[in-house]
Amino acid sequence: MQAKFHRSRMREVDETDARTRIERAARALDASEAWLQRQPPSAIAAGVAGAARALRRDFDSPRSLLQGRLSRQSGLSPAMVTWAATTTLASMDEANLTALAEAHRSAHRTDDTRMPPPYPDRAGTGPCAVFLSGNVCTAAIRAIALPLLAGRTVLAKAASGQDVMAQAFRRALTAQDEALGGCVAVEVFGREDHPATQAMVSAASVISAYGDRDTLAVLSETKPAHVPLIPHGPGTGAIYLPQRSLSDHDARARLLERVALDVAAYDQRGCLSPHHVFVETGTVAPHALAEELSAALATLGTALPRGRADAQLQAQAMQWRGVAATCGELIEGQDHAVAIEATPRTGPGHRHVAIIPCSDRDAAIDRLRSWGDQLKTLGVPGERERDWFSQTLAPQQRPQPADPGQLQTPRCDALCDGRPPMAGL
Amino acid sequence: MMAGDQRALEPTRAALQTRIADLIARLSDGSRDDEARDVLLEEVLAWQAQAVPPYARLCQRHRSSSPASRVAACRVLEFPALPTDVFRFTRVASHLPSQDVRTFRTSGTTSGARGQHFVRDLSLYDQAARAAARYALFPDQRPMRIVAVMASGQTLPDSSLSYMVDRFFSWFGDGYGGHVWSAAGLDTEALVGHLDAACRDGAAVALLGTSFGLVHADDALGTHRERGRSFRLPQGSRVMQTGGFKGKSRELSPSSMQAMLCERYGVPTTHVVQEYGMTELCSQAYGSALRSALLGGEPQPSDGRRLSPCAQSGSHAQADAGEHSGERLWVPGWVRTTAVDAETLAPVPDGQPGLLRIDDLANLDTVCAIQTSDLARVTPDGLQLLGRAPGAAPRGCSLAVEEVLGHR
Repeated sequence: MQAKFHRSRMREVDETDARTRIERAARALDASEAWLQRQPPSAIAAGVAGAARALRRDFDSPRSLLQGRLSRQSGLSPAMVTWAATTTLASMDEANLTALAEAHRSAHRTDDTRMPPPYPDRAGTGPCAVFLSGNVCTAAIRAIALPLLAGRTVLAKAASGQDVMAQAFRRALTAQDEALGGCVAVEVFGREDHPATQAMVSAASVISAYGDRDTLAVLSETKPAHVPLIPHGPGTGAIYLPQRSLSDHDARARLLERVALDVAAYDQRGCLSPHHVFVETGTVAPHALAEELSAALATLGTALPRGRADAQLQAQAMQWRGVAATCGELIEGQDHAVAIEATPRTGPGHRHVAIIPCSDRDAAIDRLRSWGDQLKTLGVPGERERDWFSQTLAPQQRPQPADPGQLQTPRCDALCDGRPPMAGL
Repeated sequence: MMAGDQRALEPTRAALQTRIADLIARLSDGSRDDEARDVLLEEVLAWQAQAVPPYARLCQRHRSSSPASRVAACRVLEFPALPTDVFRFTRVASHLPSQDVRTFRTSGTTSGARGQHFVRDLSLYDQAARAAARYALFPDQRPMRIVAVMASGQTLPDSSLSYMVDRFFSWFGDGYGGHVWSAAGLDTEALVGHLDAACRDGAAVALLGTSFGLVHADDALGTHRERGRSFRLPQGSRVMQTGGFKGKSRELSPSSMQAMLCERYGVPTTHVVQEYGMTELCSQAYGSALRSALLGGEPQPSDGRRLSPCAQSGSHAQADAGEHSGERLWVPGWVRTTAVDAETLAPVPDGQPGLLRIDDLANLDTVCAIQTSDLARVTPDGLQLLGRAPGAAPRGCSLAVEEVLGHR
């Protein structure tokens, strides 16, 4: 009882500290806001791109400290961490960032009538409160960069032990330009710390939140009514492969290498990770395709090994494999599995992917429609085919279209939840 | 499976059913014969590998993928265990749908699909449930005033728990008592009425409830008619707690739950009995403290293994992963429990945590060997369930993949 009481009091102290730190950080950010808004977009873009380049140099080093820390934090293999970090940082291209920032600042609205309505304008002054999700270890880069490019200071929240990349990016920004680094604060506290959450949303002029439904619901209930919330809710990716992309053996092998990369990236932890590959039925049998995809995953696994799995994930994988073995077909590799199933079902991630045969693209899109706006990205080979899917899916369901192999490496100006990346900022 | 195929398997099934029933009858006094159990399990599993289509596929795959040199520690374990999720996606049965007499379903999950247990013949289920409950929950062998804080089988015809408790009324009840939970929820006045009547009559009560039902009852009794109500139930009264909270009530740790039940109903801690069962199984495990308190001595160990409550999608019982009541559960002699490696599904060494595999002989018409997602530890002293396998990796924005598909 004594220990419990003691723990309880310690937690109370921690909660108070987090709230105090947030309030202090918000005041500091307020002081930086006027400076940031005076900067030309190109200057902010240059600072962000410079910080990204500096971080890339760290990851390129064989003695990268960040690689080890991110690997321990995320459970991804060191090689996968390096791949994830370098591809994410490479997307922070200065020219693209400048164009994005200038377009946002000049328009501050979207003229694209196909887009859903933009979010309400932010409320008065104050930082953009960014709630980071911990499942994708590099997600902090884009989540912090976009508000900065919009001229918003950033008050970012990371979960305990999940702040490595956010802190590294903030330090890199500071090293690049101390004033720019002063426009970002990263605070660490748990989701159950309501006073800290309250302090975050109270200080914010706009909230950008990544995470599950519970997180978004809590923020929606907690935030002041006049502060807009940009929700980046949960979701998944998918891939569609038409028969014509599979007919040539060599081309198919290259395509499946790219599909394998999409599956393996981040060990399927993110909302862009594909768990299902819809395949148009035809001359290439699903079983043969599954074997080839399994081989591609095995080859990739040597260069980008899978990370560790916790007990829950292992149990989920065991159940998923059992269902596949009894209800469909299952091809198991050393550190991956490919199933062939008639109906999509939940996958555990960790490189478990299902091939869903379908008669044609209409049949595939019928299924994808029902996934609603939770379909975050759709990989389809061939620009014309991608355009068809983009135009055929309803406006409110606008997954980021991507070529297979690029589902998890979106450009900095890629759609975010069906909207322009800086909508609402 | 074709009707003709089934007819060919029928004589074997009938013979196995007789032998299983005989073994359960022989072991219903708590005695053990693990060798006889394992011999029979092997035979039943071999038969199920022919008779149950999804299990046949799993066995075929297992045979083709297992190296010839791999020899299981026990021949029963050479048969693969069917993961519980399979019950959600396909029919697991040795018989035709037209022969179903009952279908038990697991509670819903976020993905919507519910596990289904198709029952052809309830006689083994009844025999196993009655024997286990007689041994561990009603060892004093006297009719009791049963009050059920859960819906009846009439209200929830697909709940195996409701079915079992309904049967308890006829097997162990004194003809009074009843259910105090309906489709509308808890009937607090009925609960108070039954308990007051039992106190007046001096009739020992068996209060049987789901965890969330008992919490709701505690909340309601705490504010009953503004003054709140507590009871000192007649001597010999007991509370059986089963099932998780399922987000339907506030959650209590096992020790808090036990303390709450003792205080509210005036029963000793030994008389709060955990029940552990699963929709996919026909047998249940129980806490052993009540029997020890009533009859003295320790119950026979379950081949050196004991269960404590845990979390499972289709399970009746649930406990927090990090905290345990410490109560040992008695496992019937016709049930085998093994902790296995989550990746290889091979038995783990003593003392190592692994996923719990349960081989239940009473599961004649589905599959005896069931692979759960519950984490367990086996030591020479027994088996400890550690709750649902804990997750460390944050799921964040990918968490709801389950929901994406579930909300189709």
